[in-house]
Amino acid sequence: MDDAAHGMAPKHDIFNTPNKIDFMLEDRPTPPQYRHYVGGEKLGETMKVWRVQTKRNSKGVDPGLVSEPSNFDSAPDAEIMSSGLNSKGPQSVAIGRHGNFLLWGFSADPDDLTDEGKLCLINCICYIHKFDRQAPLARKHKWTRGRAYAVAQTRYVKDESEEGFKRSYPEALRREFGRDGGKYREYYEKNMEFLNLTVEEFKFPDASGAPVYTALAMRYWVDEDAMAWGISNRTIALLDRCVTALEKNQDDEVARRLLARYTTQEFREAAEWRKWLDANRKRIFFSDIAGYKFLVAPRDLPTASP
Amino acid sequence: MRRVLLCLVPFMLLATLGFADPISLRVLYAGKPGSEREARITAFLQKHFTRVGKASLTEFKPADAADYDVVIFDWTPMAPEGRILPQPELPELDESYDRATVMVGHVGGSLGGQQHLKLDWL
Repeated sequence: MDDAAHGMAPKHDIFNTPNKIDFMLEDRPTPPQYRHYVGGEKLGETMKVWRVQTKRNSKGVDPGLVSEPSNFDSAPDAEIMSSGLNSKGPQSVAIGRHGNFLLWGFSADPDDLTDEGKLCLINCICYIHKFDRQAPLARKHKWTRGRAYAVAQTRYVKDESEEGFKRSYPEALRREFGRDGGKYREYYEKNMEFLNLTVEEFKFPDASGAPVYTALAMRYWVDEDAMAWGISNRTIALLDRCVTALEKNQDDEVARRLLARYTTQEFREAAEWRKWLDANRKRIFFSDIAGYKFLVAPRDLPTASP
Repeated sequence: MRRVLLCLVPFMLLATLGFADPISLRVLYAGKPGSEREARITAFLQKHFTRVGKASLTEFKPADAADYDVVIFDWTPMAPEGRILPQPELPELDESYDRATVMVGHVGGSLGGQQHLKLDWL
């Protein structure tokens, strides 16, 4: 990341408390690679940025760090406060929080921050104190991706290697859409609320066909059970529908399949599921990065449902 | 009236940049001991917070944070002369670590990966 922020959440505490940040915006050329990322299509030739550092990347000032925005999906204890000029996409995370951890992605020391940058760093230190003793509710599986990346990755479809293509898309989709990235994008956007991710080993064959190298295949797929019910797989309404189905002996095969797929519980009786759901309703949330599961937080969540 | 306000603006900025009462937080800076960066950052923090301590990032233990409100994890530039230096060893933290923590720059990527956070290298 370079020296400036953009896409700030201006009402957020880190821009207002205890110091009110006056964004002195300036125009910079839009990084060309932004066009290929989600949110980059509509950007103009220049974009408004807020200079945080007085020095750009050079000897003594490292490039800063940005994180993948799609991993912030469905996260009750994670938030994105700002992006910044970077070599990836316009929504990459320059300042963000996950549980008790806050990322200040800018690398310059305070002597090389603008006055407003210094004030914002002070605000960040004050802000994260509110989350002392609040470890992250869910951690990333070693290899995972949030569902928003399903759309982001479609920009590679046309030029991806054959192996990479096979690792990224289910066979049925490859047969239907071929190398037309727009079709994948439309499909994933339309079905965003029903997406799931399968991660499995993928063997690269050598010339003789013997497997010689193993990588991971990460393929998004649409959950047709959830889609048939028309209920997002990341809302607690899905659990309500499942438990009600068990209680009424209606669609209970589908309900058990969904409960097994999206929870970590193994109850047999409808009454057990009902008891668990009602007892934990204020603490249940869905996490893509923790394995596309409903999890139970150790404390009540800020909102009653995920 | 406008003239009075214009005169006040520089003083208001000065107040927020170091001449106001320090914020009542105890901040522990865990970086590279003895480095120029450590000296600069702790000097900055001391202007703004009531108590500032120092620790080594590589040797940090959660118990070191017991008397502090916020921990800052940082390190010196990775490529000060244009070539990339070895990354520092990370502190040994397990998932029970829950202290309010700011991760600066590349340390955020490494530590975020170790901690399986959403915040890590893109």
